[in-house]
Amino acid sequence: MGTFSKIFGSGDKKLQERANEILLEMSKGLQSASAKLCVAADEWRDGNIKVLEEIRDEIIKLEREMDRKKEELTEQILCQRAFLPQQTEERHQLSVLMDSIIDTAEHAIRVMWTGRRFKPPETMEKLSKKVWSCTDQLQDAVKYLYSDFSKSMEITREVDRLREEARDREFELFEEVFNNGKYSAAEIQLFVEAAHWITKVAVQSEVTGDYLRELAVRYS
Amino acid sequence: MDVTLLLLILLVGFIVAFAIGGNDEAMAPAVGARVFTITVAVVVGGIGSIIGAVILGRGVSEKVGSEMVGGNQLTTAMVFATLISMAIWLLIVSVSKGLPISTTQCIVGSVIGVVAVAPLVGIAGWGADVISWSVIFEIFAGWILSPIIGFIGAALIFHIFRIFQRRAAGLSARERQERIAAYALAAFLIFTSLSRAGNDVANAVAPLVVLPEFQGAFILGPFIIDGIVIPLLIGGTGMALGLIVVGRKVIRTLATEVTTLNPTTALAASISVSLVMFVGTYVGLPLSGTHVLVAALIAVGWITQKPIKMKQVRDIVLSWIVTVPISAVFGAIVLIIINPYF
Repeated sequence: MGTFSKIFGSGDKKLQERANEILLEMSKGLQSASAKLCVAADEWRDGNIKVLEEIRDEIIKLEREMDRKKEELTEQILCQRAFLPQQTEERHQLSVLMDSIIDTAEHAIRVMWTGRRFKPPETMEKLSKKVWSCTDQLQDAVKYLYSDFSKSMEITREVDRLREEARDREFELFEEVFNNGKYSAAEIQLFVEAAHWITKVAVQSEVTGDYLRELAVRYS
Repeated sequence: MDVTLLLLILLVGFIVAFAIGGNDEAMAPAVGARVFTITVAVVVGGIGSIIGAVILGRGVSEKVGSEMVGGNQLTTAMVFATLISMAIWLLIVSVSKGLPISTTQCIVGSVIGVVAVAPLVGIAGWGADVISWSVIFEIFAGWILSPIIGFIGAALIFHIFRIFQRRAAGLSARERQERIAAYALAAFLIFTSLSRAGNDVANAVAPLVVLPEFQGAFILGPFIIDGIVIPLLIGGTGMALGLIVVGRKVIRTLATEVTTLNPTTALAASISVSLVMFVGTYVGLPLSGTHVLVAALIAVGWITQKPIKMKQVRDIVLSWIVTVPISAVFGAIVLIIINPYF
């Protein structure tokens, strides 16, 4: 009689609280990864390779840690029937989306590390800052989802706006590297790749924000 | 009565009950909202059918189709032809397409066919002129009224639900509401399955409970069993097995192939069906529970802006339209076949 236990399992407050804690920790984790990425862009431009390497390791470590949290959520809470089936799916989907942001941040820092010999244009740093703001807002949107739908929706719209601004910075960077003749082909390729992955962090944040908005609309 | 004949009559009652159970869609909202898996739904519904039939079916006094023929009582052959043809059409629809149809409409169609053909097989005093067309018209009017009232009723009730839903500002509070709705839905549908079985068993075993063989009491060791329990138990078991073996398809159709449900919308639809049926019965409107439920599901899907699968809805409505004429044809054929044995 699995279904009855599903219903009664939904009364396990400890598991539910832990699930919500994990999702909030993941939102903090993605924001932290994005912040580190921003610092890394700054250090990359300043040529502080040692610091860049440290940040790369920190982001990779953070990504592994978030993977463990996601597994804990899936294997120790969601499959224990802590929630109703629809709520279980929604939490799982949210964790997958947030994890994808951290994965993207890891990819971005690895590209940066690959191009450590090069000095990126200043726009790379501006782009990273915009992306950081984007994930910062997303973290708040996740936090408010539990207590205030309208506030959460308002913040996700801000995430959308910041993502658009991040894309503007990305194309400013393209303009700079392709048209001023200052960079070699290898540098151009590397900077375009780095900008693509940094911007993708904002794009993934927007996708996650859209999902939060969908949840808020569905339930409000 | 000859034991073989008695067993045959009980077998017919069982098959009719099996067919009725196989088209029982009451648990569909719980499956659609994923409060119950389909297996749990049919098992819980099956247990409910047996308990409901035995405990609540004792007041069985229904004279199958008698109100449609001016209160005249159908002959035994005609009653069995009606029940058998109803069972045939219910099983065909349930097994082939899994479409939910109204048992009452099957009976209406079958009675029309049986009564119309009766003079041709030598049963005097019957024919199309005996049929009370005003009652038939009332029942037909119910076809139109049931979905409309079901739709409006569910929309109104879900509107009230939405007022409470809006009080929840965040996900935590809303999910708590959904969990409460899931508990309430489970309890409500278990209760519904009990009362529904008490009603539906009448269609299957009404001709059996009046037999003298079941009027006394049976002594079984230290227990004294009321004779009426036997046909009711057979009816309840038939409905339970029908639900478990055949009913999955019908439940799946309504649960997942009309619209998307969650515990709150499913509860709103289920409560509205009960309320609409209660009020309808009170004021004498001939409503069909199946029609009201389908309309209620569409209503909550429409309000929550969930996609409505119109192809499935069209198939269901089509099955409702053809039920009466096809049941009538089956009724006539079955009467011609079985009449010589009575």
